[in-house]
Amino acid sequence: MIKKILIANRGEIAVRIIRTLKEMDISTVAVYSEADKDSLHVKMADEAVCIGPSQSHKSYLNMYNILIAAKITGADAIHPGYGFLSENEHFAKLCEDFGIIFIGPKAEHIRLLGDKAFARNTAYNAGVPIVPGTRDKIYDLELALKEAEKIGYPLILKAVSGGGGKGIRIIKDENELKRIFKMAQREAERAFGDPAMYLEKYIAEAKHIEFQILADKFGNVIYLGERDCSIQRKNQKIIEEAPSIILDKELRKKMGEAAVKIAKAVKYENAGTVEFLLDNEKNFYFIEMNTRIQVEHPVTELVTGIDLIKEQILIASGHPLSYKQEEIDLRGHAIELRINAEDPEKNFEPSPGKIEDLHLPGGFGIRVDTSIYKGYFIPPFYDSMIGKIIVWGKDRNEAIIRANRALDEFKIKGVKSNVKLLKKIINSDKFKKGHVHTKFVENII
Amino acid sequence: MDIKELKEILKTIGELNLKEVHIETDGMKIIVKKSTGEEANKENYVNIEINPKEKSEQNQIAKEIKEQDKETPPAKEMDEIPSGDDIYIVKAQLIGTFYAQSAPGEPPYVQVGSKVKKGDVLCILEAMKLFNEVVSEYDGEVIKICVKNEEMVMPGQPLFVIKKF
Repeated sequence: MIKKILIANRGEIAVRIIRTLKEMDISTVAVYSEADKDSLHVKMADEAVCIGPSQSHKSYLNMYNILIAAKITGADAIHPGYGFLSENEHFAKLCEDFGIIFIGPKAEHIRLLGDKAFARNTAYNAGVPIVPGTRDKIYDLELALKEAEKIGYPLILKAVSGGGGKGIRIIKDENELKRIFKMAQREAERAFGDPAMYLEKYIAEAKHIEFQILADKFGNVIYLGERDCSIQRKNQKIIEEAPSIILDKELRKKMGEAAVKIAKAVKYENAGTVEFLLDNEKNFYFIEMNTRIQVEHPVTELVTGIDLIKEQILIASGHPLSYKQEEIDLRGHAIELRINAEDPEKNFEPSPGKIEDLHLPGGFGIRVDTSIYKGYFIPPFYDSMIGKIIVWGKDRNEAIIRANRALDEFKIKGVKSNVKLLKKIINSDKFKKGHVHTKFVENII
Repeated sequence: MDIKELKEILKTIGELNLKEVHIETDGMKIIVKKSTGEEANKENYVNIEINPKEKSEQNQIAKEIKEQDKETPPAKEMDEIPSGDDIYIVKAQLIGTFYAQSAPGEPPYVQVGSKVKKGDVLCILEAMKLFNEVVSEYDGEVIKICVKNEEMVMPGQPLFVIKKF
């Protein structure tokens, strides 16, 4: 059994992981950059190691510093959280080489599924529908134009090694493809070190539905229902909910089983998320699989009653899954609201700085995952997401009422936040009726 | 030194119960400080610098950092900011990280002595992964750069002193 875990992350997810580890009686090691010495995860962990200067590439992305921190503290395992090194196959491999358990899939899984073209083919071969488009990687404009003609415009140009909503462009027509292809390729090469591209048909007003799966080392895979992540701005999710009101039992089973098929096809291990698009005729298409715990995992936890971080650790320790598929029961409705330090009135300008005053919401059915506190200085070096409010209600309507109360209670001074925008979204008619798709927020603001 | 040897060293450091380790070879510098007891939390520190000639990703980063350091004009004392009617002081509008060049390895946008036109990019301020270009509002000559590359700046902090034409 794992006795001590180093958390190779910062912010709310580091705090969230430490909380579960405390309940499991596992010792915790925080790592931090020079800018984060007063962070909550450092205060909460049993031990902490400074792993370098403020910039991420010198600290939270510095693999050797993190590994040596694990060695000097005697940690058995590393939990990477999300972002940073969580989907870095080299880091997962280095952990294996150093005899440290990487809490997540094997390096091989990260490599295979990180290649979106491979992932599409895996799904296709497993009999799971994929968004119509190319199955081979595209390196030149000639081929792109030829394939685009077959698929039809508008379409989406994506980087094979992209992810997290980055490296995606909607292409209206041939001229636009001609104009943008080379630039997109250069960008992809720079951002992901891989110029390979692929094309997908653009599905208008689609919903983004993802399935949480858990897989153990013995080939058992279960799905824990879906999350609807259609509320996005610039391909970044801001509100997620579970379950999706569009899915009925039958469709949930069909999509869940498709997700399991993909995981089984690559002999996946640990927690993962299979993403689908759902068109307005309820046809679903596989888009990609994420090989990490996700920001929005708490909505699944609230409706299933299962601590996903705990399951990740048990799986990494070699335990078989704690639950069978038939034991997974979705109860009530959960909504997650991401709080960002940004100013929606000034074109979402980032708003780092000192938190002069803070009041966090509480009470029945409200969970707050955050690392901020009164007097804390939000550094400008990292993501603008400073916390998440997750609410639970017996049904969607109650969850929305509770979300309103939570947002009313939330008070922050010293930095700007997107709280007003979140309120506007959840109180819009379209959101209440569930008529939202991935371009909804752009239309509302 | 290759990655294999580095791994061995790291393993050994992890296994030995040392309080402080400094290793410096021609290819690498390792500093590890480890403390025990109640005050352990704030004293642990690790940092590894690797010779930029090596090829791993880590080394590429180390190389980029070195290049940046080399190309950054040295910051002069903050308190000596000239004033006058022909002096234009470019101040930071937000909290962010100051970048003198568009990407590691690229030449800096401006140096002391550079002639700039209205609208020319002077530097980048990065805040929460968003890059904001800072542009000059006047034609003039850069006579002073007030901050170091990759330094964190606060709103209102002077970045450049420009002598207007």
